[in-house]
Amino acid sequence: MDGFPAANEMNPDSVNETWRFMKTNLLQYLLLMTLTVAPLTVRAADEGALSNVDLTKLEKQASERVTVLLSKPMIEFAAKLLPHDDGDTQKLQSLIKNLDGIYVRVFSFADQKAYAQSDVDAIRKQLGTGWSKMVEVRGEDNVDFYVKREGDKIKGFVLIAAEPLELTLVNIQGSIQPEQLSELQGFAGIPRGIFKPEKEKGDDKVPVPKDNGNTNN
Amino acid sequence: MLGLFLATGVALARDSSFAAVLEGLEQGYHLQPQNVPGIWLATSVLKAMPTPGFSQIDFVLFDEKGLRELAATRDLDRQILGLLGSGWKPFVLVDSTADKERVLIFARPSGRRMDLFILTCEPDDGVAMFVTVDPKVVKDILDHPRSPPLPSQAENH
Repeated sequence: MDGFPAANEMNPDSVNETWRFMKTNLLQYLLLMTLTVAPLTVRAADEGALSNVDLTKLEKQASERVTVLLSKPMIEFAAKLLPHDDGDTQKLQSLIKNLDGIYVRVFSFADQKAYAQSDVDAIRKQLGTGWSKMVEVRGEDNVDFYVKREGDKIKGFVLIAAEPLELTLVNIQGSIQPEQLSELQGFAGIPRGIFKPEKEKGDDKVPVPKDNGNTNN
Repeated sequence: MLGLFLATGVALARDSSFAAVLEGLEQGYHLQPQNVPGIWLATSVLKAMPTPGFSQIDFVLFDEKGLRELAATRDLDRQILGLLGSGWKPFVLVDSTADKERVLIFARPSGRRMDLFILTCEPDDGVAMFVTVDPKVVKDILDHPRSPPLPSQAENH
């Protein structure tokens, strides 16, 4: 047989083991089934807002792809166990414990024509409802910054940074203020410099906020 | 006799998730562990003298057969996750067409540490590794996802 066994196949040993377990405690068995089924579908759920985006074309075009997936349980674990021996780490720890997910996808390309603006536009359109553009920067590098609000609370950010040889997608879910985003640079594969504090920008480079209420720009 | 005893001990201590993935890789891709002379000794030495931050190291080297197909599998991460079972999450996935290398790291909390399953796949060889790591190693991986500090590279970070 080529390829893996189907994801829902169980080999005889695991079937027998599961049957014995079920007989001893039905409630525990039901819980086990939930935990067993959940990981088979967890990939889509664990990519946050990026779950809705078809990245197949970019995956084929990229010479290198780096994916970092930190769902809530992983973040909680990391927040508890990060070393406490320096101020920067403590600040980061305090910040990330309020987050529900950090999802980073970085695509590197061998040449500047490997992906098109239309590929990036397609990503923006697929983010789904509720995302509004907050910042747009155009130049050698194009950066789009989207925010999702529930009432007056910010529930997440999506950053799309398109450089000639690299495309970076960052989705941060949870309670975080825009000015805190720079604290995450360098963590979980988030490129440094991608969230530049406003004070570092020249007047002619201050991004123009765009809050159009939809992603189809 | 001592070597046989050590090798048996290593086999008995293998994590069940790791064993399940290895079985899946062997069945699905006809991967075969390399028969490297003295590998049992190397594994025992690693267990006795672990790299700082890493413990419970278990690994299997695969020979060339089946690796190309494995490397080309699009949804390999989803399939590995299905084999690992509950509690595991995809953590870091690196896929380099230029280097023809894939590194898949899955994580599972284990008390105050974290279990990692790491699959490194190149055209000519592959390694499947199970390790339990300290928090600092988790942070190091998050700081350097493109070149995760695996046991052979830990001293470089």
